[in-house]
Amino acid sequence: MARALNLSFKDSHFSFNINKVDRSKLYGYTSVDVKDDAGSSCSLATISEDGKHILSKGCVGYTTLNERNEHMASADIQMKDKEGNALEKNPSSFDLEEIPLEVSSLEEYLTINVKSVYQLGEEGDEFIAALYPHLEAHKVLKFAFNYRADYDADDAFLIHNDEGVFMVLGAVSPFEFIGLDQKMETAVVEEEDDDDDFDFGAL
Amino acid sequence: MSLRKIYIANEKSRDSLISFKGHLASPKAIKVDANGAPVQNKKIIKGTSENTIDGLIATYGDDLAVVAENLITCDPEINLEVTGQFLGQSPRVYVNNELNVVYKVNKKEKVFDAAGELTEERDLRQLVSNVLSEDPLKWSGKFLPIEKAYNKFVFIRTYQLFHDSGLTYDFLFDMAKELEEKQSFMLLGSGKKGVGPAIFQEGGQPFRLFLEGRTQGDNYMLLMHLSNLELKSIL
Repeated sequence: MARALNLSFKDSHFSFNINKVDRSKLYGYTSVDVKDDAGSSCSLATISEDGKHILSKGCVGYTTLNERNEHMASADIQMKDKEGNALEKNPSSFDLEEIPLEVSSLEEYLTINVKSVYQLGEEGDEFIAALYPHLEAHKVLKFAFNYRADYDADDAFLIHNDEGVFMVLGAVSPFEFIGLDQKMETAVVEEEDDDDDFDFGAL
Repeated sequence: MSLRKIYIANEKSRDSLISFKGHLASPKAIKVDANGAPVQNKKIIKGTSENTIDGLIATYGDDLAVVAENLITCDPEINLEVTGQFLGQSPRVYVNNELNVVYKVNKKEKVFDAAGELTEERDLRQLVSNVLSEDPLKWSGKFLPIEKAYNKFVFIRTYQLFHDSGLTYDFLFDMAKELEEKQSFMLLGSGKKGVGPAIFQEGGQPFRLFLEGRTQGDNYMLLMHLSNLELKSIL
């Protein structure tokens, strides 16, 4: 059963299921069939550095090494912050009884690099109707989100439109204003293209 | 993140090669050993294709009882010579079902609709990068009020544009100022009208580009938002 996200804002409480939004669900998707001349399906593989071995799917893995290049078991790996302080895992957001929402701004929301997008609730969801006025008033609400228990959290922004309420996950980028002193090359040829519409499905 | 370049033109068709840069979120948590020394992840070889189940079937045949018997008696599932070796930058090749390298492949692209139905089968579409092509990406003239557009599209990535001279400072500052005054995004794109998608890498994904400007006195922040997704209901 889908787990619910329990949010609160001011004195209101909301509980939502989340549904992942991606291009395949809106526009469809493509897949590439690779075949040899005999019609046999092909897949990608890696060649070992000495050129003697083919490493097909499942032949390559990762290991964690200490400073002496010795393998480390997961249990022996510790997580610290940049100052060297031990870190505790944040619980999954789905395990929290209540997550308070904070007011954000369009300026902040428009600096994120997006990791994933979810639509909240279900059709005819009463909590969606209850959250709408708050989003009408503040446009963007935010909270820290962990899908699973983890040491780091994503920035989660709630926004709405006529289609529903959406949770946009990502990380805010620290862009700064720049002046003339903070520095860091041409002919225009027009091409024939009369495409005038915003067809996201064709992207 | 390193600086990259994009060739753009403003509403007066004045064009320039402009630097842009984004930010990668740095993780708060660092993996260390018991002494607090940082650890590293390395790619290793777990086995070769002959050691996989497909490789074993290719060697011993389809009868899994025979494969199992050989697993017990000969240990063909492990190659002690290579298992555990570090793997650096290595070439990638196509292999067929018999795990032999294929030197000529035919690629077909299958197109499925949102319901998962196959709608088209075609030759692989090779998209050509157009952010540094002969034609600059153009200021389309389509102002989209931020208040109306922020919740219509998902801005997947955001980059900041930088000047490298007094002239490009004026070029970018003026764009930022105009967009701020109009409280609008500007669609920047390819084609005659500047509404076509931008493709940053050969074979890469196409994106719609939206410019957003902010100023503070003589300082500016000109952001380029990339989108390939609309905020639409999937329920």
